[in-house]
Order: sequence, then structure tokens, then C-alpha cells
Amino acid sequence: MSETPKRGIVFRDPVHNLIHLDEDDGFLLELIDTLPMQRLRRIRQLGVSWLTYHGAEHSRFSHSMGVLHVAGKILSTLKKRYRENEEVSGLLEKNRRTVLAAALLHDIGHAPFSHAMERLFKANADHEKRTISLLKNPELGIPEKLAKVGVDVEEVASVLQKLHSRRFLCDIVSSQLDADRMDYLLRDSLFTGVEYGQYDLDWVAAHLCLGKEPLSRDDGEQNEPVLRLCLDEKRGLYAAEQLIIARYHMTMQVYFHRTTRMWEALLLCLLKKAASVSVEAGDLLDDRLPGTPPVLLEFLKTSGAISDRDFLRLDDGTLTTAMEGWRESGDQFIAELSAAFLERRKKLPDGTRVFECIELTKKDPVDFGRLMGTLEGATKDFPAWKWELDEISKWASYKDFFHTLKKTKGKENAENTTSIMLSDGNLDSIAEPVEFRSFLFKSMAENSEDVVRLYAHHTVAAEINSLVLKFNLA
Amino acid sequence: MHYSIILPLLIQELGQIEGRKKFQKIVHILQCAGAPFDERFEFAQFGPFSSTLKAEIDHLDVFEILSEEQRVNTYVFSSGKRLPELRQAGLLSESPAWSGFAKGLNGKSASELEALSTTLFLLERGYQGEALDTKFEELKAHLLEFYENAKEQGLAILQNRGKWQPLQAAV
Repeated sequence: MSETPKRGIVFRDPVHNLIHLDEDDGFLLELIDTLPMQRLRRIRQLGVSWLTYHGAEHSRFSHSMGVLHVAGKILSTLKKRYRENEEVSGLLEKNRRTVLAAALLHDIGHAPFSHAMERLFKANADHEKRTISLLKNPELGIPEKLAKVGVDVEEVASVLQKLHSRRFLCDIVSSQLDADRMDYLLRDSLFTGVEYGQYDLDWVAAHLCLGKEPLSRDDGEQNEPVLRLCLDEKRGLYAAEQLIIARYHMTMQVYFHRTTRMWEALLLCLLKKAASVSVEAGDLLDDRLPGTPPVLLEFLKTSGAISDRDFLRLDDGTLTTAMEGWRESGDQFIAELSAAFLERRKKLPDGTRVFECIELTKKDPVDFGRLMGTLEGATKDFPAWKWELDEISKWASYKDFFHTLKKTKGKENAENTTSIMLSDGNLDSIAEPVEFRSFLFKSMAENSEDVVRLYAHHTVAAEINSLVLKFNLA
Repeated sequence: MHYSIILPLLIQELGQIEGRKKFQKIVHILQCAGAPFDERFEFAQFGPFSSTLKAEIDHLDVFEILSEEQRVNTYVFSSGKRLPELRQAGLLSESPAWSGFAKGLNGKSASELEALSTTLFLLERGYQGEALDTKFEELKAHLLEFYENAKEQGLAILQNRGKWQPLQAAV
């Protein structure tokens, strides 16, 4: 194990100032030094947002360090609050390293440009699956480094997949109150310069507690009561509201920014076309994908189903390097989109937008179905690489923000408990979803609107616009 | 396939689904078996759950494509008043390849489906053999009576993905 000085190790961090690792946390240093973690330095946290917010150059690596730090804060709060409860303090002590490892490694499965790539191929639709594969892969050394300090890699995987029997341990890493979003909101806010994302982390982290899952079976025999991570009902309500407002504003201003999503649509359309060409060309590469790194070519040909080793060779740089070569592509579409992306050129010389954004303001499913039926049914006129549907309701990248607020008519009880929960901290008390207590949450749940956009390449934009009008969706 | 087509298609084929849990589990199992549902599922208190699917069902209910009716102890889903409009527009195919398989699922109880859906979720995440047995018991001790059958069916579903072989009857 790495030699860690007695005073521990300190990292400077632009969000949290100093991140401390204790003397006996040398294993975390070893994990930080693995290839899957170091690769995250070359993957931007916010995909293509840097094309809109020039400061948004921060990496998945710095975010992962932040999540490690916040998870440590949460564990400390719980340890202090339940210091007299032997069972809980024992559980926290026993699982501390498992939770910290899960927090640090939670994003290693991200493909280039972060969430953008999850929309390209089904094989990459869920970065968490790749995270688990990399985590457990013995060739990459993580299981061995964990085993040396008595941590079972399967337990780390269980926490990440929400399959650990102690649910509150999963909640620390992945829930509406997790270390992940507590870090990314502050970090994304700082680097984009959008201050709406700020909230009081210290207050939130200091007022976390545990409560009984409202839907848990408590038959006393087969299933033990399930404990969840909650906010203290007396001190946490306003902090929860502040956190949710911060997320709402960041979602609308940054994550679902109209122009950012246009660049993402352009990138996806470019890669869809490149993938189609790579399959057509087979082993006989022609002039349509010049200068493509072999590992990217394999990624495109196999619709993302590549080995862990090859996956680790893909980062944001691999894709932009390929685009540099594709500027000279014999395929006009590929050449045009590569140049537009690299030069951040939204318009052609004649002033036409490369991609048009068409907002669908009406959401009638019958009309929408007619539109989709027409677009998907006429692949010759509207090939898949010329348009991209962007629905905020389909957008799970930031963990279903809107869906946590949806309220079903006439609902008296929670159908699911994926939202923030409040409790008095007593382990026998049943936790309550925060929307049952907060006027603000109820109002947002009842009034939040879906955003649906179609991004269309200039060669099909006019026809698609006509269809949108014809089907009464604008 | 877009949810505004495939969810009405599912209801058209099944007539009705009794219970929100059953709806969630049927879609999850169909997705594992190869039907073109796009929702992302996470593990929740009652097994695999998709908040996206819940929002989609709510949306279709608001527009009266589906109907969600509250009855004693359950919610029943059926065709909404406007579902025929989708059919008239030629957007609902007569009978998808997975129709019979879905009907087989709808004939099972919510607990059986929760056991099968949980088993599939674990199998897809690499659990097998003893590790699968242990994890299932850890998470769903109250459903152990359905486990052996769920394991057999889950393995068969993943092996025959997209072939739509009928599920064997529950033991």
C-alpha cells in the first residue's frame, strides 16, 4: 500500500478548498492512481457544455474527488449523530471504506463527453454497467487494491447498484440526497459561472439522519426494517428546498440549455453517421473516415460493445482528434459537422443554421405519435443521423430530477420513495417524502413542464418544421 | 420505440393491468426479454422501478390514452377514451411479436413478477450461482417461494432474448 504520512494527505480543491485523506486511507490513493480513475482527467464533467459556458472545462476526475469528500462528510455526520447506537455506529465503521471507494469510483464507466454518449448506443446507455465491469475487472487491479484493506469489491458494486441490504449506504452515493449531486451542483455552478446552483452544503450535510423506509415490510421475521438517509425534519426542510431549487435552475440554465443540447445533437448525429459508414466500409477503410483512431473505429463498428481495455483508451481527446481528420472526409455530411463542431460554427456561410432547434410546445401523444411515425417510417427522407429528438422527460442523466417531483392524482401514499425524505432521526420513525411537507415541492410537482425539442440538420429542417406544424405540435 | 406508441400498444394487447407494481415489472421483464422499451430501471424498495416509466404513464393518463382507475387497494390500467385515435392513425400494429409473452406475464401475480424482475436485474448485473441465490435472499426474503421458478425463467428469458418463447407455468 502507498505510504501515507501520519498527518494524512491533503488535496486542494476549487469547491471544497481542502480534501483530507486520513493516514489509514492510503488505499484511496492507490485507487486514485489506477488507470480507470486517471482517465477521468480527460473526460469533461459537462460533456459539450464548454461550447456554451467557456469555463465548464472541469473533469470527471475533479468531481469524483469532490464526491469522495462529501461522502466522508456524510459518514462523519451520521457517526456523530448515532455514536450511542452500537448497531448503526458499527455498521458505519464496518462499511466506511466500502462507501468511500464507491463514492470515488462511481463514474469510472463514463464514455467520452460524459452523458452525451449514453444516447448514442444501447451498449452505453447506462454508464453504471460499464463502471461495474471496470470495477470488477481483475486486470485493472481495483479488486486487489480493495482486498488488501479488507474491502470486498462485490460490496462496493452493491452500493453502486443500490443492491446493498443496508439501503442508507447506497443513498450516500446514489439518491436524491447523495454526495454525487451535492458535489456536482456546486462544482458545475462554480465552473459555468451560473450562481443559481449554490446551496448550503455544510448545513445539509450536518443535518442528515436516518429514518425507516415508508414502504418497507416490517414483518419482523423475513425482512429487517430498511433504513434510509433523510434530512432532519426540523432543520432540513428549507435546506432541501434550496437544494431542489438549485437543481431546477441548473437543469434549465445549464444541463438542458438549448444551445448546449444543439451541440450534443450535432455530435450525436455526426457519430451516428460515422458508425453507419464504419459498418458499411468494413475492413476496407475508404476516404470517409480519414485518421480515425483504431479504437474509435472499433467502438463505432460494434455500437459501443468494446472490451474494458479498449474502452479505457477512449476519452474526449480521441473523439476530437478523429474529428480533426474527418474534416477532410469524402462524406460531405461528416466533413461539415466535424468542422462545425471544431470551429464552433453554428451557421453556414449563407447564414443557414447547421442544426435548427424546433420546440414542440404541444405534447398531445396522438399528434406526437403521428410525427414520430412519419419520421421513423421514412428513413430515406429522414435518416436517423439528420435529426435528434431531445426530451427532458427521457433524460435520466441527472437522475430523473423532474420525476422525483411528479405527483399522481389522488395519491395518499408514496408509490416509490426515490425523493428526498425527512425524519426526526429516530430509527423507529417512518420517513416521509419531502413533497408531502413542502408547499414549494408540491407546487413544482404539479406545475413542472416537460421540454421537448427536435434538432434537425439544415437539409431536412424545413420539412420537419412543416410536419410539426401539420401535426399541430408547435 | 417511443413510449407514446409502445405503452398504448401494451395496453391494447393486455386489455388491463391490475396494479402499478405489475405494470412496472411487466415492462421491465419485457425489456430484458428484448422488447423495444427504452426506460431506465433502478433498484428500489419493490425491485426494479423506472421513474421515467411512471412519468410516461402519468402523461398518457392525462391525455386519456391510458386510464388509471383507483380501486380498493389497487390501481387498474386500461385503454383510455382516446386510444382508438392512435389505432385509426395506423400507429398501433395489430399484434407485436411479444404480445403472447406479455399476456403470460399479465397472468402472474405481482409477487411472482417482482421475483422474476428482481432475478433478471441481478442476472443482468453479473450475479450467478451462489452469489445470485444469496443476494436474492438478502433483498427479497419474503419472495423466496417464487425464487427457483424465477431463476429458471430468468435464465431462459436472457438465453432466448427476442425469441418470445412462452413462459413455463409457475410451480
